[in-house]
Amino acid sequence: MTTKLRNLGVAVAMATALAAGAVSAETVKVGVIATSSGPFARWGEQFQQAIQVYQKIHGDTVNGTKIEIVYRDDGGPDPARVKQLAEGLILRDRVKFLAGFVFTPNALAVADLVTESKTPTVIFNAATAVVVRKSPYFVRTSHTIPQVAKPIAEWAYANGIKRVVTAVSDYAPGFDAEQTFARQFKAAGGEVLDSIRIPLSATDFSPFFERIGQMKPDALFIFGPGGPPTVGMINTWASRLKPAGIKLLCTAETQEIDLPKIGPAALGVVSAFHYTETVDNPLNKALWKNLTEMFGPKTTPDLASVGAYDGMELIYRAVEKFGPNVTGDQAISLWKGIAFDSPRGPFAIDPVTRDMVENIYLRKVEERDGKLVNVNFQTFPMVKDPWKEWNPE
Amino acid sequence: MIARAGNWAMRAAPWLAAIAVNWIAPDYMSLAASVLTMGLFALSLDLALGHAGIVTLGHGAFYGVGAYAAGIFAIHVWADPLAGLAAATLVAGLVGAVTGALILDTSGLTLMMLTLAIASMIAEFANSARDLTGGDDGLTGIRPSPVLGLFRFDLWGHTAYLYTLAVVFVWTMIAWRILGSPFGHSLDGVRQNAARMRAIGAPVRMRLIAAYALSAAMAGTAGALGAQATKTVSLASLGVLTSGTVLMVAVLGGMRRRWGAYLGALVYVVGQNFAAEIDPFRWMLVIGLMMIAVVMFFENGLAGLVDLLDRRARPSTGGGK
Repeated sequence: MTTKLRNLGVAVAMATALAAGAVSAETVKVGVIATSSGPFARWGEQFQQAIQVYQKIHGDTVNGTKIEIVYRDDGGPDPARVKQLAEGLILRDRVKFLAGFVFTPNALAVADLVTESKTPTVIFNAATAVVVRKSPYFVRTSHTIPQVAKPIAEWAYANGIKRVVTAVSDYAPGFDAEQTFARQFKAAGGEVLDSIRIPLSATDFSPFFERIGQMKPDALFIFGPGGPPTVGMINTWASRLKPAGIKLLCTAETQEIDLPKIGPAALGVVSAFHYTETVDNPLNKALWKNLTEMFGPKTTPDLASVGAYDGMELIYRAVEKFGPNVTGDQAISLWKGIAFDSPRGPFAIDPVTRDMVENIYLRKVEERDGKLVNVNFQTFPMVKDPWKEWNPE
Repeated sequence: MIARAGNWAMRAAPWLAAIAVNWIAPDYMSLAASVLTMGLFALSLDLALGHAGIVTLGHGAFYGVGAYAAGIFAIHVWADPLAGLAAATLVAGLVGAVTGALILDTSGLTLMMLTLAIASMIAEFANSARDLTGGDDGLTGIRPSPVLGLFRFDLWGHTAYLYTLAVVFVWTMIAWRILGSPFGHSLDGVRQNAARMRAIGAPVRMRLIAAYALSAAMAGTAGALGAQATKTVSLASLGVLTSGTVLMVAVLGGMRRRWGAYLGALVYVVGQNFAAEIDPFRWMLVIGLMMIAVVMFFENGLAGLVDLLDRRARPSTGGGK
């Protein structure tokens, strides 16, 4: 009798709990605007895969609130389309958070909109320094170009490189890289012999690199947009300048995705970046393991993956603390100064600038198990974006 | 008399419907505004390519010039949207007149390559003049003041939509008026047989330059509307893709058809939007299939399809309009 009663009691309790659970199971929508078609489609794919890994590890509910992701494709740098997509997500789909944004103009296009609608917005990439200043509801989980270009200049001068030529692709991020490198390198006492800008459409780099060879610098600093221009630059360096003992310095150029295309030419190239696929920490191992299990053995985490992964962490934390009715101001106040462990290493959001603070790693390309990878050899701990110090508001 | 009133009603109906959209679909204002802007842009191409027969692959340049002109004007000179619109229209028209004078002696493939080359040069200039245009980061900080000092550009985009609609209406009326004029008919003549037009004493080159400049000015207005609505301008607005998209829209809607440009814009922009919402990873396939279907089966684009249905409904009334 008593057991029966107890069983009944348990059943009632369970039913109540279930009912309560059903009532409180609310949904928070997150709108992710990224590039999932055209030549930059890989970004959208990497974002999506990292988000799926995050939701597999952490579940798709947090404190009883379901997190639903709504994906939108911007097709590339297209501010007009992005603004439309963002309006649709905020006004019609009623998303609580916006996220994604591969290209700077796309992130800038929604600045006024998210300010007016108070939508907390997590930028997974868009690496131009100024971006987060454009709306108080922006935070960022990637890097800025000065943030990675400054440490490599510092390292170069401290390691016997005194004379450098810079060669960058002729577009805004290239100018940022060129200016940051030159500023830091000259301040340290080094000499920049020449600053060359190469058209984005160039496919033959030998005339430029021939000229660089004649100047006989200790090293060459390059910045390109990734993909074919980068592959071309590194290969031309390897055939023309490497034999003359001219070292190559760069930032994102040796990223995982391009390494197989560059081939053995990349061996020994030194770069500075905020994420290295071989970083040794349990979160990174879990990210890599899940990615390859879910999407095939060739999948490799990269800067897009960690940007999305940590962006999800920010969103989950905001919902965990404030529930399904979290407001923009609550989320932003929580994120300012937040710090947690990420697959990239320690990660924090600066309480003043709302930009990421993170380790910048100096890496060298090596061969491991027949595969080219970046391997860290020095760490600049918790680097802030220097651009904001150089350009106060 | 009744037929005449009916005719007027038919002509006014699309405009009334466009006004009604403001209340019918209040959540889709910026999408609706892009339909109108794209329609105006396609109409400008129809003027140059459809009527005057100027084979151009660089029309995006004028859209982009208009967008940058409106943006730079708003930032450095005056934030009034109508003044910005006028400035952008003027600048784009001027660029059209100058480049037209340089290249309109040629025709066919040569002309096509020259339009492409000029568009690339303008795009490269915008990329390198970073202080003025923001380069690859895009031009930002455009804050248009209220329209006529009264109507603020709101978050929901109602003001932007009605403002766009008014501008598009005025330009469309001008374009239709011009196309119905002797000048407009002479453009059709030049397209069909330039040698014969010359033989009867028509100043063919001047006509072409005028049509090109007018078309460029109209494209510039469309660019300016886009810049004011999104408050940013990117290098992509000057790109080959922009020129390609507008060509696609014009062909989709039907060249030399009264409503062709707007019909094409409506189907393309709305279709693109919903296909991308349903499947953001494979939506391009839908757009591609739609394009192939229209080009293969309907000679005059969607406007041709409407004719076809119209004729089926009223088999007795043969002939054209």
